[in-house]
Amino acid sequence: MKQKNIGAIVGAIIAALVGVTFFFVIIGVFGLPASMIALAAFIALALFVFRRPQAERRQP
Amino acid sequence: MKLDAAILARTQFAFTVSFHIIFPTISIGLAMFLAVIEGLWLKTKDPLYLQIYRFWLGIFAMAFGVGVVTGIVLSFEFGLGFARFGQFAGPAIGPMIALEVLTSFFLEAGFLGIMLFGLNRVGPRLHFFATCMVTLGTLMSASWILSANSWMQTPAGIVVENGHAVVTDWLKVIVNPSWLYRLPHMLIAAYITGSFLVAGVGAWYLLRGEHEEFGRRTVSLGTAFATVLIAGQVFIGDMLYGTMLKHQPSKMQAAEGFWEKESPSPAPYYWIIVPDQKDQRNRFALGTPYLGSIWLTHSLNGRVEGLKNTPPDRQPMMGMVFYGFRVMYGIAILMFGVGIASLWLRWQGKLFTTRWFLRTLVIMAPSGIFATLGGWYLAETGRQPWVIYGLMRTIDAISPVPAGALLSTLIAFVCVYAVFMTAFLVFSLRMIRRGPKEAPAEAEASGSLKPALKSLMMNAANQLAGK
Repeated sequence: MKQKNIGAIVGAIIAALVGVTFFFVIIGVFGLPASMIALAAFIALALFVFRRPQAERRQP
Repeated sequence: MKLDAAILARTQFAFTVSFHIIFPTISIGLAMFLAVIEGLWLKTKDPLYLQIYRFWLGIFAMAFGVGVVTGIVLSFEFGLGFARFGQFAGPAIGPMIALEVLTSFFLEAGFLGIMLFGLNRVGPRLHFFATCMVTLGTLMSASWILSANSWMQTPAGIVVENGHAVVTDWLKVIVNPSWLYRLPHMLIAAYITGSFLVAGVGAWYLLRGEHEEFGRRTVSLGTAFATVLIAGQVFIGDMLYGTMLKHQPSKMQAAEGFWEKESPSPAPYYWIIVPDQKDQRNRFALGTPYLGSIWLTHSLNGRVEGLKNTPPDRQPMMGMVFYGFRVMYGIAILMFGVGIASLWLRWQGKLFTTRWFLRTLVIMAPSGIFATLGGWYLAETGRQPWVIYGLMRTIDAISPVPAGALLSTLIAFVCVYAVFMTAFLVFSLRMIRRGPKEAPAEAEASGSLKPALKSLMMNAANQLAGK
């Protein structure tokens, strides 16, 4: 259980770091070409994740 | 106490336009959402899409109605409160506003009746066409209004002759330097507003354990649209920032909260300031070190221009511009965070079962409206003291109207608009609390206009035949 919680926290931190990186690149910190590539990559990643099946109810 | 007519005229316009912009933002965002949902219904024949369409159509119709009524007032205010502006800029602004009204009437109002009442009378495809035309109408209306407003921000294509703007190039008037960036920025803002509203209401149902299938689908669609759109908005926003820095440097100088001609190096990014316009300094400033250089100059030690680069008589009020920008930008950062959180939860398959995230969606439901208002305060207060940037000062645009008349009409507007807002909120919340009605398993639409008109034609023919 504890290991599962640590895994979730590490995962959330990685997700946050990926999010911050995308934000900084899309906002143009590394120039327009990088910004356009990051936007395309972000949308592609989002479209890929949208296909994941979702649980309808909380697991007991 | 002596009342200042100029301040009252500006307050009145600020109040009425701030109230108005809420409703077109909702209706532009929901119109696109409805077009997508009806398209999905036609493609999949899934009755849940029809249920979602019908539910949001009611709220769209109310927002549309209030938006039209409050928009008409603004045209009159141009003439009554800002007649000198009309005299000067009418040849350029007038046709664009007229075209906006024509677009509204022909496309939006023309097809709105079919959209609202025609589902059982015309075929699904014709009904979908009507929805698309209303959506196109909202888009074109926004386009003309943004063109007119952007021309006031970055005027082009005119010469001034005898105190009047004379158009020399219509293309430059319409496609002025800031329009190409401001139009997508505003449209995406409206679509994000719609997405967060939809996701927030769906999340509320999931938290209460009501209409769960509806809730899951709308949370999924709303967060999906919002996630993609907010990334696009961050990209467009940065492009617009660069354009405004070039064409309206004083606005962006005020928006960043720096006074000195050059900021320290590395520049912090200020989140809170207490500006003193008279002494041209900040009494208090709180920011994140380095972030100003990184975000604004894209380097670790770049310097940012301050407001002292603009002569004091041409400066906007820093506090209003700064906080308008921070409200918009702060909410955009939160929205981006929600988008990332939604992707993370989707990856784990927990999008519909994570209660803290559903609560966040409920809280964020009206966030698009506040962000849009913040953005418009940035745009309009940052243009001051000009009504047409660099050409006409706001103070010179005001009509010679008695202050008492402006005050009494301002009070009347506040009272009437309070009734509008109360009615909108009461009816919308009642519809949301009541929830979506069950949609039929199959489309009810008859298939074409023929069956709807057939009985009418038969009756008319019988009457003519004297039966």
